[in-house]
Formats: sequence, structure tokens, C-alpha cells
Amino acid sequence: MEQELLELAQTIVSECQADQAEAVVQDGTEAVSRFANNVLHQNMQEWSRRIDVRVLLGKRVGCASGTVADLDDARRVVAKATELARVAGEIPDFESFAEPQPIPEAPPAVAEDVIQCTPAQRGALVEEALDVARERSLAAAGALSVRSGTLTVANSLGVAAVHSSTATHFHVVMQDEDSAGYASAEGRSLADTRVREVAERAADKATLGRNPRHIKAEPLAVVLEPVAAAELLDMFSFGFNALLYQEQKSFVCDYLGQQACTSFLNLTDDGLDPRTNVRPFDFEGLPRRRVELIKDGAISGLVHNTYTAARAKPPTQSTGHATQPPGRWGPLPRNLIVSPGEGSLEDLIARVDRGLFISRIHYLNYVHPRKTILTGMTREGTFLIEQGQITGAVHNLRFTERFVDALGRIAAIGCKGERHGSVWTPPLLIESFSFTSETEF
Amino acid sequence: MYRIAELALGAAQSAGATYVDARVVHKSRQDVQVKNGAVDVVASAHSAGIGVRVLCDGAWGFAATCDMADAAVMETAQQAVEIARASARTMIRPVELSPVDAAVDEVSHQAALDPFQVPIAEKIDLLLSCDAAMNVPGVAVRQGSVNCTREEKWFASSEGARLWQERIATGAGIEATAAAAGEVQRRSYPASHGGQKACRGWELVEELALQDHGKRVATEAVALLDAEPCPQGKMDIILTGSQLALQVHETCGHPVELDRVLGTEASFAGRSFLTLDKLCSLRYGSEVVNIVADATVPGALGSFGYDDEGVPAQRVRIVCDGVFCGYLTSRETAPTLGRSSNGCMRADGWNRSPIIRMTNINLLPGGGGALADLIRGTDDGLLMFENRSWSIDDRRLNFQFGCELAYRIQGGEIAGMVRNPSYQGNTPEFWGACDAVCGEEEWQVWGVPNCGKGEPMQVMEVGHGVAPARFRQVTVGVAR
Ligand SMILES: [Zn+2]
Repeated sequence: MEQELLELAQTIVSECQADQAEAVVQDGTEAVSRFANNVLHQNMQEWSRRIDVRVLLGKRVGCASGTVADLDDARRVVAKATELARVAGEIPDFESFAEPQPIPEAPPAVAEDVIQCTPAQRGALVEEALDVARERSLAAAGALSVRSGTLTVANSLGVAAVHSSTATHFHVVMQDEDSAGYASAEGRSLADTRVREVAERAADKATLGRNPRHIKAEPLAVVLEPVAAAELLDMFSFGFNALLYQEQKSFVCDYLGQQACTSFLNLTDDGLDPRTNVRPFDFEGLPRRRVELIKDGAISGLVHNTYTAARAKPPTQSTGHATQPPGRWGPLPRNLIVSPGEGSLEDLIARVDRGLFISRIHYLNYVHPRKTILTGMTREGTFLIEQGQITGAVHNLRFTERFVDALGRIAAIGCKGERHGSVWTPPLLIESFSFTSETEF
Repeated sequence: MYRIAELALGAAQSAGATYVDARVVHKSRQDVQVKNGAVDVVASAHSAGIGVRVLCDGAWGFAATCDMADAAVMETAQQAVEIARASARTMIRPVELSPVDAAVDEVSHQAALDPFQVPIAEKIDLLLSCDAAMNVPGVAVRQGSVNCTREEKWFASSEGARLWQERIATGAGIEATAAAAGEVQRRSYPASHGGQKACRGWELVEELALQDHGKRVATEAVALLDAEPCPQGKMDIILTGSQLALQVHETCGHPVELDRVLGTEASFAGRSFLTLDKLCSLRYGSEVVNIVADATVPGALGSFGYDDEGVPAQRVRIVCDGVFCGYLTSRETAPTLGRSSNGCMRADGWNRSPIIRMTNINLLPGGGGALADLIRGTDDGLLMFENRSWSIDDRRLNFQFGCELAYRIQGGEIAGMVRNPSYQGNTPEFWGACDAVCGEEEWQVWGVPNCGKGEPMQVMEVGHGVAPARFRQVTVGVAR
């Protein structure tokens, strides 16, 4: 299959009469089994093959994409991109598509159990979570997702890269009358979803969450479970985008080289790290280089694509972080790792005199990107910590926080991390986090 | 295309499905974006495929493919049945659908001026002229974009429905970002996050007269860098245009989705405070608050002929004189209320199964007169423009919004520009504090092209008709 896709991409690129051409083929299957009220209520599977073509004529770039079933469909996409390049105006800073570079050997990224997975197997896995819910008289809602796919990039300068991967994700909310608990797991194989264990963890939170107390919104210490920490860090990491930096929209403009965060915080992006969703190359077919974004607490790096690298002052090399064409949002880190510290989740809780344990974050959004002010809600498992112990659940709260400052108040990083989306992180203890309003649930 | 859809119907029925619908969807999109005096993006996207939804053994299955060869389509239909059988293992009650007349119809929402026929060079020229107008000292990024979409859809069901629909939409907007040490301020027109969008053609872009607003937005963005910070405390606020549209979207549109209420979105988008016991009893807002869901407004982004279950577009009351009185429903959920579907099931393309989506959730015009009248009647308050940030809890009660710009109102007059304006509230309390909605002359439908819901994520185009409205004693200045 990889060879067939690479040939498709190379064929259409070589046939193109433009100065340069680039093709990205994404081929894959995705299946999602959603359940709620202890029933599988939406259950789907999709196969798609999509091609994105960029064509360069002088300094004019045309982009076209399309779903394709065969070579003729793909040729139509190239023709469309060429037609657009003819009428597009010039992009003065645009130099070239990527020159080929060796792609390093990547750790294994395909799990055979995902490729072979049937609807009945997905159903049986979901049943494990439903069993937990029924045993404990809870209502379960969640989803099991399994994906397998191949990313292929080829261009007329000789780039030829292909990589296959699988990904799985399971998450569940267990609901009781006045409480709910969330847990999730993800990885490469079906085994990584640890359905029964995750369901038990969510159920424990729902049980522990009964009779929540109301507390006042004020600055409090927080222990962020990995999934909550990952959501915040994922949103925050937009700022390491070199395009936003060049447009003066990023917080990095104010902090580059400065010791903004706790001295033991290290945040790197590494597409080859097996703890993340391994991606050896980006959407331009360039190797994803390891980038230190925060080093010993100092804001230290940016991620680039070919375009931002060429217009950087002084010009630099792409770090291999191009996003899907046309890539108007600029390059993004997608394989983030927070270096683990010492101590278990329990040790982190034990260090808190009065504070909150946070399971999940809802509707996170930037209030002010340049200042990294974020707002969002807690959700499904917010607990009060008193004298180092969880003493009960509390109603959910809204926070509004300048996140770069919060990263300066990290008191401890746990030793054991988890992958959630683009981030692998241990739990974090932050000395003070700004809660600004309340709810009644 | 009906032939392919019917092939899927037959294959699924032979495999044991008791109900089948098949949708063949062709979607095209064109984007032109200009940034800082030069072209940034000229792109087109095309997507085509078929999605097959079945009921078998009383449970749902859905499968989709972009390969429309006969064999692939039949195999996909059989997969949908296999998936439904897997779902049925967990079934408590078989799915029952509210009845619908099997319609055979063709609906084409044609634009006056087809946006795909407008030369790209003309689009670039327009955006470059806006860009030049925004070229004011202090502005770091000038950006403008136009986009257009065309969707063609063939729907066939085992109940006999055969529906063909075509829909064209056009969007456009400009924005200027000013930057100084540690501070960035943005202004946009006619709305933020890409501008306005409607089920109309190029005539929409011509009416917007983007180039006439370039200098103003740029000047305002620069002026905001040194404007007074938002005051903190409780104050009257007046919300305008697209910000009020988003307020309606987040605090009314989402919580009245019946699937959220019934818990089927609980793990991702969340639930709703508008539980079934609240229907026709909860005071949602003050007596001036009247809200409808209306999929029949000509040219509005949330309008269509039939939803993706073949139910015709409707106008439904949601809030009547402040009392909550209706949900957005589907064929499966409506019987919970003892009703039939009001036609809100839509899918984001061939590869997604439909879920309940907003149509146009409209705040009806009131007796508040013109915006100038609202300002005159406000002693101390903030007049807010264009959304910058938004967040709301998973029951849709606690919200916090930030806007691009506000003006302080003192003694019924505009008193000065305010930077980083924000407000925070609780849904029924906030709408309860609404004391005036402007009249018909200020009423306009705003398109929201990026409403996200479902897993895998489905992005939907919806609309909101609003006229400026005033809310008394709201908490402002949370996030300065
Ligand atoms: Zn939405």
C-alpha cells in the first residue's frame, strides 16, 4: 500500500508542467464507536483518500485538494492547482518547496490489532466499560476511536516520504445523580486503550464526587491530571509557531530567552519519540527535528516550516513542522513532551495544603493570545484537596489565567506521564491558579 | 447519483437492514486570502463520497467511502449493517423513528451572482484594495479573505424519499492587527473569525463594501493599543451584531439541542441545563426575549430545504415571551416529547452520520427602537463590538466572552474607547436582565460557519438573526 501511494504522488508530481509541484496523500480508515446512557448509539466507519497539491509558477502558488478514488481524480486535482497558480498573485517571500533531506528511521507506529479490528471487537471493548457502569449503577458515555492511515509526501525536487501509523483513543464519562468522572487513554494499539481500567477510574471519580460542595472562586493551588495539563499545554503551544512570532502575535515575542517558567520545566517537541504519535516527517516531507521549546524554564525555541524559516531574520532551516496544505495557520508542534520529575500523583496531592484536583478542562480558549491569558472550565471530577488529601468533590469553576505566569509557579512535576492528543505529560502541581467564577454543579 | 444511492439501499436491505438512508455529497470550496499587501492563499477543495446509515436489529450503523465504484458502495452498505449488528449487542430499546412523508423533491438555493464565476483576479484586487486601506502606521498584520462553498446532495431512503439539494454560500471579511510591546489588538469587519457568511452569492461581498471599512478597522486597532482598560464590576452592556449572534449561539442554540439534553453528547460537547422538566415552565429570559429556530429564512447560512433525514425545513418556537418552549429535534429524539421531528439532523459531509444541529436560531426584533435609542437610555455602560474570545461550561450556564472593542457609555452618550472588554454571566440570569431588543430596522442574520460538535468532529454552518440588545448590571472586566 505504501508503495502504491508513493507512486501515485510521484506520478502526478512528475507529470506536472509547473516550475515545482508537491503532493500530499492521506489515506486511511477511521472507526468511532460512541456510547451514551449505556448504549452504543452512534457507530461508524469511514475510508477516505485525500490528496493536497501545491503548484509553484514563479512566485505564484496554487493549492487544490480533493478526495480521490483513482489516478484520474488525482490528475484533476493537479490541473486545478495549476489553474489557480496561473491566476494567483505573487507571494514575494515564497522561495521554494522543500529540498529533500534524509528521513530518520522511526520507531514502530503500526499496531496490527488496529488494522484487523472489526465492529464486533470494538463493540466487545465498549461492553467492558458498560459492564463497569452497570455493576456500579452509573450511566456511561464515551467513545472508542481507532484509526489507521498512511501519509505520503512527494515533490518535484525529489522529496519522497511515506509513513503508516495507527492510533487508538478511549474516553468515558461515568455519571451519577449529582456527579460525573472522566478518564481516558490513548496510544497506538487496542491494548493501549486499557478500557476496563479507564472505566474503573472514571467510575471511582463519579462515586467520590457525590454531594459536591460549593466553593468560592479564588486563586488556589491545583494538581492537574495529565489530560488537563495536556489540554492547557496544547493550547499554549500555539505560541511556539514561528508565523505567529513573525506577525508579533505570539507571547514568545516578549519572552524569548527569558526565564519565564519554573527552572525544572522542560518542554520539547520530538516527532520520533515513541511516547507520542510518531511522525518522522511533516506535510512538506521534511524530517521533524527535536526542538527545545522550554529549556530549564527559559523560553528557548520556535517551530518552523520552509516558508517561515526562509523569512526568519536571519534565515534559518525548517524544523519540520509544516501543517496540512495550504497551511495558512503556520507551523505547529504536535509531539510535545514535558520531562518527568519526581513523585507520584499521590505525592503531588500530599504537598497541597488547600487546593483543587482537576480531571478535565472544558472549552478552553484564548482571551489574549499574546499575553497567554486563557479561560476555561473544570469538568467531570473536580475535587478539594485539604492537608494533602482529597476530601470531597466541589462544584465546577471557571479559571482565567495568564498561563505563562502559571508555568512559573509549577511546584512539582510527577514522574509518570500519559499521552493525550499532541502532548505527553506527567501531572503538574501549580502553586496558584486563578479561578474567577462559579457554577452550581 | 440516485443509482449509486439506490445500490447502497439495496445492498443494505439484502444484508438485513430494516431502514436505510444513503447520501451522496459533492462539496467544493474556494479560498482567497491576502495578507500584508500580497497574496497569501489561493486554494480550492473538493470532496465527494457516499455515507450509508442503517437500522438493523433495532440499532444504528454508519459507513462511508469516497470510492463510488459499484463494488465499493455495496461493500460499504454491508459494513454499515455489520456495524449496526455490533451496536445492537448493547441495545436496551430498539430505535423508533417519528414518521415523515417520504418526499421526492429538488431544492436549489442559487445565488444571484455565482461566486465561483467571479475571476480570482477580481477577488485578489478587492482584497488588495482593502489591504491598502488598512495600511496605517502601527498595524502589524493586515488580512482579508473571501471564500465560497457549493454543496450538492442526493438523499435516498428505504422509505422512498428522493431529495436533491444544491446550496451555495459566500463569506468575506477583513482584519487588522496592531502590535506594540506586550500588547496586540485586532479589529475586524464585518465580523471576527473570518467575517460574514450567508447562503448567497457574490452580491453579499459587494454589499459588504469591505474596502470602505479598511481604514476604520486599522485605525481602531492602533487606537486600542493605548485605550483605557475595561472597567471591573457590574455595568449595563449593549451587545451588537455578530457578538450577540454568538451569545445566542452558545447560550440558547446549543442547550436546546435535544441530543445534549438526553445525554448522547455527554462525553464530549456536554449536556444541557434545559432538562425535559423545564420545557414550557422555565423562565429563560425577560419578556422581551423571543427566540425561534428557523431553517426557512431566505439566504441565511442555517437554511436548507430538507434535513439529512428528509424532514422539511421548519420554523419552531424556542423561547416565547421569555419562557423556554422548544427543542431542536430529530426523528429518533422527538418521540421523547411525544412530537415529530422538527428537522434539525444534519451531517458535515458524506463521511459523517447526521446529528442534531442548529438551523438559524434567531432572537426576534423587539420594541427597543434603534441602537441610538438604546445608547441614549443607558446611564453607565459598555457598547461592545465583535467577538474575540468565548467559553462556556458543559451545561451552557457559566459563560465568559471577550470582544475586540467597546465604547464606554456615560449619561446616554459614547464617552471613550475601552480595551480588552469582557463580560461574564449565567445564562437565565443574563437573559433575564435583557430589557430591550432593537427593532426590525436593526435586525440582521449572521452566519456562524464553524460550529463544532460530535465525534469525529463535525463542523456545521448555522445562522443567527439578531438586533442589538441591552443587558442590565452584568459582570464586566474579568479578564483584562
Ligand atoms: Zn457551536
